[in-house]
Amino acid sequence: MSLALAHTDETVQLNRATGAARLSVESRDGRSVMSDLYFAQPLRILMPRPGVGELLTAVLANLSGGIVSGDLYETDISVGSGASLTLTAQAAEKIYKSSGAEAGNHLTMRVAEGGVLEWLPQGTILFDRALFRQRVRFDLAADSTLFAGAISVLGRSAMGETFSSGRYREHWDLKRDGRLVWADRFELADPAGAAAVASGLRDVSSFATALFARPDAADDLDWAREVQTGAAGDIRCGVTAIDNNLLVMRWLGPDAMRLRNAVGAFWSAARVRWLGLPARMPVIWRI
Amino acid sequence: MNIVTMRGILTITTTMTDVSATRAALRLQSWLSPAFPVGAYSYSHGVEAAIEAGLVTDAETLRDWIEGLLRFGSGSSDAILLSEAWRHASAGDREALGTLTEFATALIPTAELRLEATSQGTAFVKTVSAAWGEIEQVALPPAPPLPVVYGAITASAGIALELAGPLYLQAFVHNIVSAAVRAVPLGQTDGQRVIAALEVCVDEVWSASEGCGTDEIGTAALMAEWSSMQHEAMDGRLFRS
Repeated sequence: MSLALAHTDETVQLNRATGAARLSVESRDGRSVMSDLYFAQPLRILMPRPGVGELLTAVLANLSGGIVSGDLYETDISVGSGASLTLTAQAAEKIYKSSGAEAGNHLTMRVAEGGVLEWLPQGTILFDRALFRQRVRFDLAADSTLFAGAISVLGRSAMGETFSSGRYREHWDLKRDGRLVWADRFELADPAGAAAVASGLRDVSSFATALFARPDAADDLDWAREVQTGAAGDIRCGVTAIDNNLLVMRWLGPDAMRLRNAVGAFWSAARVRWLGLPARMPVIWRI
Repeated sequence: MNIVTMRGILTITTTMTDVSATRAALRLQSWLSPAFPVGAYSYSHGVEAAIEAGLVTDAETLRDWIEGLLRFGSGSSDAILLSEAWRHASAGDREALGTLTEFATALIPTAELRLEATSQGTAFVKTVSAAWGEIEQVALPPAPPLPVVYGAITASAGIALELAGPLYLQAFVHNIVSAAVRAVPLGQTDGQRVIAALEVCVDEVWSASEGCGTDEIGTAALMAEWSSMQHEAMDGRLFRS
């Protein structure tokens, strides 16, 4: 018995992929430029030419085609004082069924004084029986701007699959000047149980979170609520002002595509108002 | 229990005396009573919006809603938070209590739920220290959320965690049922049926939390969070959350 277990552990170890990526941008003569770039297979960071009116843009790509048991990825993004960056992903991240070990994806994003970061990932698709933990840490200077979001899809809904067993955790921390102001500890360890209760995830097969952090962000609470509701259709959505400097938005729905459209329509309007960027999604996100 | 702890650089020495089981029960009955002046009756934990949205309409849908809060929402995380606060206060670890307070507040997902937890927490500290002068005061940061306050003060008052913990969850259930009885509205007996039906759930959620630390906190009550966000935008509300 113990031999068999040891063998299993070893197999997992051998198959484990670890990847790391690091990007720093800084402001030079009023322009944002890359100052440090590193990535190790299978992660890659692409820097496509930004569209007209867009910020310096970085695209995170995972060439492995998906995350499997035991994978661990670490990505570190740093936006220097007065610099700005749009960060996005090349494709939705697929988290495959696990053979026993949990996979992890760790993202750390730092934004210094006067810095601006827009983070717009494609989303995370959890295959049934996936074991996955995503950890996202934002470390913000008080007068920085962050507009960040994520979409989670529970099961390959296009195939009628639900996430009925497995374990999925999203651990997010937002620190402002070193103080933890908002933390999310989403955990789905009993997906069937959570889906059975109305206050849990009944009729929710995908959800999205967006954060807008900036001094006096809460001044736009009513604006955000109105635009969000106007674009939501049958997707449930809401926004709250955690404090004067942080808005948190959520979307919950039974259909991943309609949810993505609701988030996209909101994002398109919000990036005009909050970041002074064009009313469209960055090119990669639209593909 | 006589705990004298010397810990790290903070070296706070705390002496606490176990009160008798009877006096522990008397204190808890007072502190968890709807008459205890923390304003519990004015919060619905978002249930008012769930009623408005047609998600809670009768005793059975109310029971289901609260079961989700207990198993996947603030019930399960509050059980761990109050236990950690109880342990830190017992050990006289002021620094750990400060860190826990920051984390516990950060975890609360909406503005109204923050108001619900921190205004009750603040009033709880004030009232206990004003009326129970012999209980040693616990140093907490400003505006601490209720589960942290409750855990710390019950420890300081010499009340066993095994008693204080499940009764906190039961009071949470009582409070939501009481709000729903007024807002749905439901009959008083229906309300008590919901409380009775959730007894096993309270027991299970408490047992599952025992021995867990903050790393084991995890919630999936996104619809409860959504209903609290809806509540913030509701017109003509009876409740403050």
